Amino acid sequence: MSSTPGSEAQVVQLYAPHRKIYAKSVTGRFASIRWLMVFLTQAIFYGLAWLPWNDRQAVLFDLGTRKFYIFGWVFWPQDVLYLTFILIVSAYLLFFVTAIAGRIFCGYACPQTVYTEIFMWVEKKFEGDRAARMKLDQAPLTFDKAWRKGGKHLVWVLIGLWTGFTFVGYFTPIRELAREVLTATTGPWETFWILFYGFATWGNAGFMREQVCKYMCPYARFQSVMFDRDTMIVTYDKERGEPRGGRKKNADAKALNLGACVDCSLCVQVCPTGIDIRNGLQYECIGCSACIDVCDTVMDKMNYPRGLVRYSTENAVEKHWDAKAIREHMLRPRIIIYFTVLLAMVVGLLAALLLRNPLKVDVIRDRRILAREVEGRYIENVYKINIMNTGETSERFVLTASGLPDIEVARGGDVQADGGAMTESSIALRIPIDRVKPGSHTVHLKVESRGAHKLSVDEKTVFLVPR
Amino acid sequence: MKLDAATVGAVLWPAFLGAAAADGVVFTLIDPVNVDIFDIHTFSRPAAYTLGFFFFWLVIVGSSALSLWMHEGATKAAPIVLPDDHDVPF
Repeated sequence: MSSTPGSEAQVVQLYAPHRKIYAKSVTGRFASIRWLMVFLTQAIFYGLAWLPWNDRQAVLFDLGTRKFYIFGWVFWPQDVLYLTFILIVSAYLLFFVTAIAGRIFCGYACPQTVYTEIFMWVEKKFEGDRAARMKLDQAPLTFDKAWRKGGKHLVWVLIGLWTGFTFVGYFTPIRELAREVLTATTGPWETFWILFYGFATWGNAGFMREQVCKYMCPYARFQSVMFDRDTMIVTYDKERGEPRGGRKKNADAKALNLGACVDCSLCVQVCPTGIDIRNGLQYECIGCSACIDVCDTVMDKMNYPRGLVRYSTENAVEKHWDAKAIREHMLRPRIIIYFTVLLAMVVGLLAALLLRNPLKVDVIRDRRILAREVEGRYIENVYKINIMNTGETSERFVLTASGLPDIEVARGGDVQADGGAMTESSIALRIPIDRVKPGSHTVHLKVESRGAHKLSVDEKTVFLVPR
Repeated sequence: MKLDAATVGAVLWPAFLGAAAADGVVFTLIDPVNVDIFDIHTFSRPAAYTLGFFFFWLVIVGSSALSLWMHEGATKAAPIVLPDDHDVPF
């Protein structure tokens, strides 16, 4: 990352005394993209919880029954590795995108940004834009101030509660939860988490805002390792802009010995983290591009070309590259390596998910019943068997044994197992007396479905022959 | 130890993330309805998940605060300086 000349020895104060930031609202290309992302991410977050799938919620991490549903997939606690892997792939995707395009996740899709955007929109509706808000905060408490502040908080709290409710609705079936909320019969834990998450939303988006990115977000701290001089960042074209200075609209900047920057300070006023992009790339910059949008409007008014502040790379600004040259430098070893690893992980994950056996079997020798002689002709062993049919339909399973001469299933060779459930059953295996010497022997138990889905699992267990 | 918002946040927040991770891992491996404490079946699943989370949070906050406190003490402690012409008594 670059820094302003002479600032190398400067100590970065991470915990500077906080001063409230009154970000001016902004319109433009990037602001529109951000609003589009707000709608998109929130349509997914608030909407997906209500989407049905085969008579159940499509996406539900049901903590009460310890089963996670993601569309057609049902995950059991035993499948935790798949979920871990999904999270790792998501994180890696984020790194890949960051290496190419900088902090676009931060600027457009991070929940912190998205909720702050929504909350600031509400704030503007009640309290007005930057100047009005600063004045209102300075003003003594009047009825006008009270209803503006009160109204804002009421709407914030409602959004927070709806967010908390939706969040809990991903961990407990949301339709039931809605019924409980409407009849005021939610359980204590659900109530607690709705309020807790609602409070967090209100606090994070209403008050903490940029401080979350600056002081709390681990990703913001380490994302710079993914950056290089060809990563897209929000940059100020110092060469074009300096020396900055005010001037009349049709003034001859050359004659006045001025650069393109009119020093209107709008880029500072719109910045949600309160930095001046003209000081170069700073760790506080979340790449939201509000300064690009506002500077473009100023450039338009001055009849200067746009892009004094723009998305570009450090190399491109320094070496005067055009868009084509920037694109050509996108395919650099770092990106190719990141992409190859990402692709391998995605393919691996999909293959693992598609090849996943929805049948799991657990065989435990019943320790309460010893190996015994039955009908005077056989040695019998009894086992407890748990069949986890993680598929969604009920299946009939047939059990067969192998591994010892003439071993056969005496009882319990036929089990009907409901979908998405664990069926406990027992099975008795027997062999003719005197065919096998005393001791413990390994036998294999094969569990096979008879239905349309050809599922089968082989389990190893121990057969005891008494002396 | 300074008790300003930034210090409190720096202790509480990473501990929150750690508690979420620990809660997730522990209760993926252990189903709380199968757990008896002193032979008494005590917790429903939501109760165990929630209390477990706060238990982990509390423990990690305690550990982090202690680390911070001890580290501050260590860096502030005066260095031991021997006099230049110290006599070794034997």
